[in-house]
Amino acid sequence: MTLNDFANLSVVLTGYPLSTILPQLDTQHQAEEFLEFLQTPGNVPAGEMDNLAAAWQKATASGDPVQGVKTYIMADVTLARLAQNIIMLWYLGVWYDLATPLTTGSFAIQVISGKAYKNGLAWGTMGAHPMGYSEENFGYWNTVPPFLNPQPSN
Amino acid sequence: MSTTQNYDAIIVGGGWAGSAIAWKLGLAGKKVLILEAGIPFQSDNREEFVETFFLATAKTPEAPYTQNYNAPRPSVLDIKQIPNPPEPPADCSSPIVSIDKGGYFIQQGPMPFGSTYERLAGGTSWHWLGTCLRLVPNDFKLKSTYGVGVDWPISYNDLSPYYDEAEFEIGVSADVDEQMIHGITFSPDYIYPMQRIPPSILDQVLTEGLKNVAIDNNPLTVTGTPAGRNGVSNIMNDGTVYNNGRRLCQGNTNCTPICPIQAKYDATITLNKALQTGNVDILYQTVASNILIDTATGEVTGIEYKQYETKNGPQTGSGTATGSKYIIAAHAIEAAKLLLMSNSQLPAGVANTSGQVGRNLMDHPVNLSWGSMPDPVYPFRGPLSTSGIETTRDGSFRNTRAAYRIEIGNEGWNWPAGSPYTQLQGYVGEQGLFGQDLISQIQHDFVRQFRLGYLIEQLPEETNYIVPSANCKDNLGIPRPEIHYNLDDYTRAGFQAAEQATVTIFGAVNATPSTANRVATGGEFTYQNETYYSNGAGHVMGTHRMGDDKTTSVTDANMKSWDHDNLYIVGCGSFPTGATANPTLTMMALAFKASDAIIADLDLNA
Amino acid sequence: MRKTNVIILGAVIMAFFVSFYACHNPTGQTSPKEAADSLKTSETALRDSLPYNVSIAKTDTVLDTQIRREFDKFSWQSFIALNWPADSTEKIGEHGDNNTVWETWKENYQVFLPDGSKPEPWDTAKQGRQKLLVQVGKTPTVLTDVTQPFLTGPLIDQNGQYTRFQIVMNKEMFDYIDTNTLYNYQGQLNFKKTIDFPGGDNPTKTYGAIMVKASWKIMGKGDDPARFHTAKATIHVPAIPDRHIKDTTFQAVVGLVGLHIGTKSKTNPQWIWSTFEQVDNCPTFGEPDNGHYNFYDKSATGRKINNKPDEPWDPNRPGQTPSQIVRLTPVFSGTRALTDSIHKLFTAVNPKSVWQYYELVGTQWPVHANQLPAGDPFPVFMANATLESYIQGTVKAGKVVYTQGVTSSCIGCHNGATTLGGRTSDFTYLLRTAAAVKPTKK
Repeated sequence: MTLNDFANLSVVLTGYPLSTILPQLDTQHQAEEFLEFLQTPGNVPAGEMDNLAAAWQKATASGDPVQGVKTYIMADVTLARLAQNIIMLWYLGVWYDLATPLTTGSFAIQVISGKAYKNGLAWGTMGAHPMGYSEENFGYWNTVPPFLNPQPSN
Repeated sequence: MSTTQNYDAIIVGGGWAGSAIAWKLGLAGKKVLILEAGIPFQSDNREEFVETFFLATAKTPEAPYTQNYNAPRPSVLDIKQIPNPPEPPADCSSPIVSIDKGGYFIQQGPMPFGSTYERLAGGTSWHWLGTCLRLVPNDFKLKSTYGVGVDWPISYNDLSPYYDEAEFEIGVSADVDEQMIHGITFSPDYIYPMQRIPPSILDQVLTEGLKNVAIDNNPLTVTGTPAGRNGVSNIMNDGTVYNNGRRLCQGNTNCTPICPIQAKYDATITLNKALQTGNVDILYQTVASNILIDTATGEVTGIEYKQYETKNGPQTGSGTATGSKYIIAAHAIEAAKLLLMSNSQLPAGVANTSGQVGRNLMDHPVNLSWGSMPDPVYPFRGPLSTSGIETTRDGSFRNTRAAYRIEIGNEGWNWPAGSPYTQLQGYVGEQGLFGQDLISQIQHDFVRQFRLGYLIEQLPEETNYIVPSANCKDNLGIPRPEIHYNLDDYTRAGFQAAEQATVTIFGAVNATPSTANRVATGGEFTYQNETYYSNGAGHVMGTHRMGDDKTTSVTDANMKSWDHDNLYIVGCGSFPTGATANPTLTMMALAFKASDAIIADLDLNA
Repeated sequence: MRKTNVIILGAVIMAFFVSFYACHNPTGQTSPKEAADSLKTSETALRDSLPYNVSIAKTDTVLDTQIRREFDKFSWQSFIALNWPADSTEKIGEHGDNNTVWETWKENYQVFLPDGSKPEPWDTAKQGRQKLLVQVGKTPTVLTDVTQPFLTGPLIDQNGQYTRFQIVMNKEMFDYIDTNTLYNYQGQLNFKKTIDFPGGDNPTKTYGAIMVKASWKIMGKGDDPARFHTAKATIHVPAIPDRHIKDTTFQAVVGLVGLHIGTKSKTNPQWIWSTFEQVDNCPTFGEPDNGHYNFYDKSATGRKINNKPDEPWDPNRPGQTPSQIVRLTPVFSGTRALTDSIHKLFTAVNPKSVWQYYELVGTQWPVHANQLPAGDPFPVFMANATLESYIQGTVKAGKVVYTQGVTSSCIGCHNGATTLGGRTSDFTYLLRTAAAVKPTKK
């Protein structure tokens, strides 16, 4: 899967814009780290990333990528399971066993990196920050967050 | 084997109490040696610990601090229900395997002991929350006021000046007027070093919602929790601006298990000051294994220790530390264990004529209540807790049931229900949400999450105790703690009262309670046909209690052993009763009281 | 030859850009050919004029190389202008060494007075007259303290001498503090607006607030004064009776070993952080460690690298074990190449210019200044071996590990800076060194 395809698929899966997933000026290279992890043999069963890439091609060809992801990825048990793990990577930086269903209370196998943890989208989505990594200033918790990421109007 | 030079004092444990006493003794010109069982305090500690925390799949209080099989510590991941009869511990012949499989403690039940601690320079202060509440005056006289438990050998007023000292050393942010509840008084013109930490949005919602609500005639007033974290400086009485040189809290919401920016006090700060006096030496990775006694005089003559180089490697050295005074400051469980396992000369163990060493093990069993607010309260922002309800800590009800304090949590359902991980797994894995739908769900649900933690009083009981395990040892061959523990009806009734309070509080603020995805349990039990779930608070107390009767207590009010004239035993184990306040501040105040006594003792003998 | 070089370089950059997403190299290392880039003639002249702000051309689109280069150039232009001979028509280093502009700026202890009173007006002639070094810690609680972030302690050179630190600010920064009474506790508590130091701006030709943090070593055995910017200084160790530290004052020749320049600019509200070091400070992790270093001894293999010195920390205590410092992050190749070309300019003025012995370690700036509180700084981590010696990262299994939020990052840390009143202080911790005005007794 190419980085661009992976990033654009991630945009649909996460709901975040490309400027977050793969910013033009990228200090984090988070998409690269995830893609490299996914393409490292042993992490994802052989061929599945290719199948995901192919499904993504079909999904975009339909002209409505969100509907396309529903049809070509989420309707396929194996690809949906992989997509779920990709969402969890982006949202929390964690990786789960692909061979078992992702359910409430699943145990993570690993946190991809400290950076992936820090960049987890879940926290900003709720107007917060990763536990243990705050860029806010003293007393910020006394007032409501200025915005929830990404801004709802977008 | 080597024998150290003769010090004025040997301190076992470079944690909170040990560092505090070392500093005070060092300032007074006394020569001190600290034996620290764990790894040293070094420049890269925090970077390494925070990274380990980031990479941990279970973000427990122990997550940043990897297991050290030569000075092991318990983990909340190992706490589970105990079958009756308890199963024998696994693979005790192989310490590393056994500790990995079943945890450090040998839990004999009937309920599991849910609290943990750390063994490294700075001790458990690395993962403390930062709460610095004073005890209320009645906490010191539970027996005479309410007819339960025991009285302390000291009163609130005896400890008050030491509270002042401890609050200054820690750097506490709080408001004097707000803290004057249930008879708490302050020295004239007293001022905390820093202003109270600003309240969270949740605090504000609860303050407003509980304005006119009372329980047992106590109004549910929400107050700022005194915190050992940096806030806005006050001008002290000498005209100087308080400034400890560390950063202000940035609300990392991670006080436990580790503050990444050291805005929260930890004992390495005082340990560093102790070392800076030039009078304090420290041996790291040096585990006290036996206390030697002159059986004729009853005096302690030395402390034997074992040393190691790596966390899972073999023993690499041993020796005996000798000095005039000996101070055991090794954590309530480890201190009791050391006293009891030093039984080659005294069969009942050192300092144990009363038979109370290791007994009266107490915690503040926590009842967690969680739910959703009707409007957003924006959790996961700010320190883990900024406010609480303290009015419930005293009242005539203490005749019959445990008191509690209510800690208001700013971390959503993280503690009780593994948020945000658990819920996200459900959204993504079970509901199949992705993209905008997922964002909307998160933005609706998570911002409404909140939890309350009731820290419930536990009375001292001889049947709650720790002993050194006869069969299970750590990697240095030192016995592991075997724990016998239960909650009595007094405490169980406290849980019942807490759950009733939850109904009142949630009703008053229109919150929807939740019990889903309970991840944290320090044991479940039934009381009057209802099931309750207990969690450890990490507040381990009572195992070498002080008192004014040598037949029922281990030390006197100066924490000097009744049995051995040159032995002091300090830490939360000194507490005769546990009350409801997080114990750290009181422990440090007691450590300063002991320091005065030790210095006076040394000066007398000089 | 030079021209040919430039042309080749242009081609390489184009190729690099085109292939950026296809085969991006996450370490951002440039090829040797790129690294050999030299400055265009128009940019090469040594000038005494301080830049107002960084200029990013529309064609600068690659973060690791092109944009970083503009910031690095800004850093060097700032360094050159700030180390230009004060009140002189001479060129920098014309006589080897020279007094400098920044050393005539206000020292922190001249702004934050022990009684909280109003500081003396700006007067460079007065300010530059004598050098008094009192700090043995980079971040003083009070100006005399030895505390460091996370109690990391002092930095001790090969002769057992403590490194000294100095913090100065320019007039723009001083005026803001002075006008708004931010030099004492009461003034800070009463200040209800958001602290916002002026930012440098090119179109209006206005300077922003600049602070300079310098680290100095006492020149001694093994040090070649021809390789340092030196100054005569009065070294003062204030007494700390609790720690048996005696009040000591002595004169010494000190050599500059580290220099931070923090510049607030309109487009970089999280400031631009330029950091320089004397080239002999320490070896780089994983690279050869031959030669004499100020803060590293190859033969001292038993010393844990980048660890605090043994306690007690007392600048007067003789025979203390030197710090064993290693740079954990290599200087970016493009930055090194730029430094090489600047060095040529220095030696063209005078082959013995001391300034040729200073290197740019890096420039950190906010890449997305308005999107995140810390502005998404790049490089993500940056440390000066003399100023953030002990929080450069950790070494695990032979690899350097950086910890988000803990390992040194100028912006990451200074983002948390506040006044004594708890308000954000616009990326400077200096305001926290202010004292309170004593209430007048009635």
